[in-house]
Amino acid sequence: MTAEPIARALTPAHTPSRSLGVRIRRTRDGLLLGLEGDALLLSDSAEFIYRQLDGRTSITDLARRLSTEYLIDEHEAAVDTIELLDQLGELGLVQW
Amino acid sequence: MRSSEFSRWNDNDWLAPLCERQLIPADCIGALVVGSAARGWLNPRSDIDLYLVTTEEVSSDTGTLIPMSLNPPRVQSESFYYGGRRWEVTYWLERQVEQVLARVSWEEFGGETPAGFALGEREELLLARLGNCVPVLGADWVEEIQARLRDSAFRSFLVTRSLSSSDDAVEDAMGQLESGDLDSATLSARRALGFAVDALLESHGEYGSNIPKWRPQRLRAAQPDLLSFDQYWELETMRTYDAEDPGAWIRTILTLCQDISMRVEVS
Repeated sequence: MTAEPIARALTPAHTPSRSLGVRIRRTRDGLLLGLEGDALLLSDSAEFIYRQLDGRTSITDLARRLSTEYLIDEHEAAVDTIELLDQLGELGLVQW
Repeated sequence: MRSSEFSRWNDNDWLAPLCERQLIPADCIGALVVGSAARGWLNPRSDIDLYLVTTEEVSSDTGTLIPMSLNPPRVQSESFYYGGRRWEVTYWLERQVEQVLARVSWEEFGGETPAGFALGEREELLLARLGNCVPVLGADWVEEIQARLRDSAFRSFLVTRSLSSSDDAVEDAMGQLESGDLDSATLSARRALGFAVDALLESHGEYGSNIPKWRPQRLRAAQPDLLSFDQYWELETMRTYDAEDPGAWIRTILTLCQDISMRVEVS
């Protein structure tokens, strides 16, 4: 599955959650998410979103929070949020 | 030390029963009250545990030898009854303490088997207890050792081990959930919770996860922001578990385990 179709499938009303069973480690460098035989180090802003994926918070609200936290406009925040969720979804790290 | 008949004892009160029995060698550099007596967690049936640290090996006809993976590969233990309680005195050599500390160095943590930390249960308990002991002799020596313990990778070793154990139990629970084996998934989730809470406590310097009976007391002592005692106790005692729908409770536990993994720094 490519990134684009998943991105189109996401709507602002979606309430993504973190996939359970993912091995997570907080190191001095940041948050590491375990993949099969590998690990993904999240950027600060990606971690900011990932931590709030509780299955109740909508993408709209996530983007709004990102916009406030990083002082970027809401449209840009929404694009970034959907792009991140799309990538994490492809890796099986989030679900909705 | 609080809320026990010993709370007003001074150093000499602790040392007197040992002196009477000639259990303090001349080369003793530290005498420490450890375990429940040091934490104020004594119950009427609790033993009193003390560690004595010496420079020369103690030999005794009345003591018990306990095997260790150290050099020399043993420690001596003496026990007696005093004041209606059993007292157990364990003699550690100063160089054995050094050996144990060397095994939890940052070099060891970054080595080939980072999570495979090479301490036996008793050696681990030594370090765990050193962190929360009450020195009644040799306070300066204890203070220096405690500072080195804080600077060591001991905490990271333990947190890493507990998180790995929790992850394994979570994986079991997920597989069992997927296969519809909800009974086994419930037990796996309980195990995952225990290990995750241990990791959280270890990250706050509350060690001793090999003795789970103290987990509630350790949580009360640590007071982590992430998990209140009431929240923990509700989950530990399964108050929200619904036998008709165990999956909800299991997922709550697995989510908490993940939250703890996200918050607890391993290094």
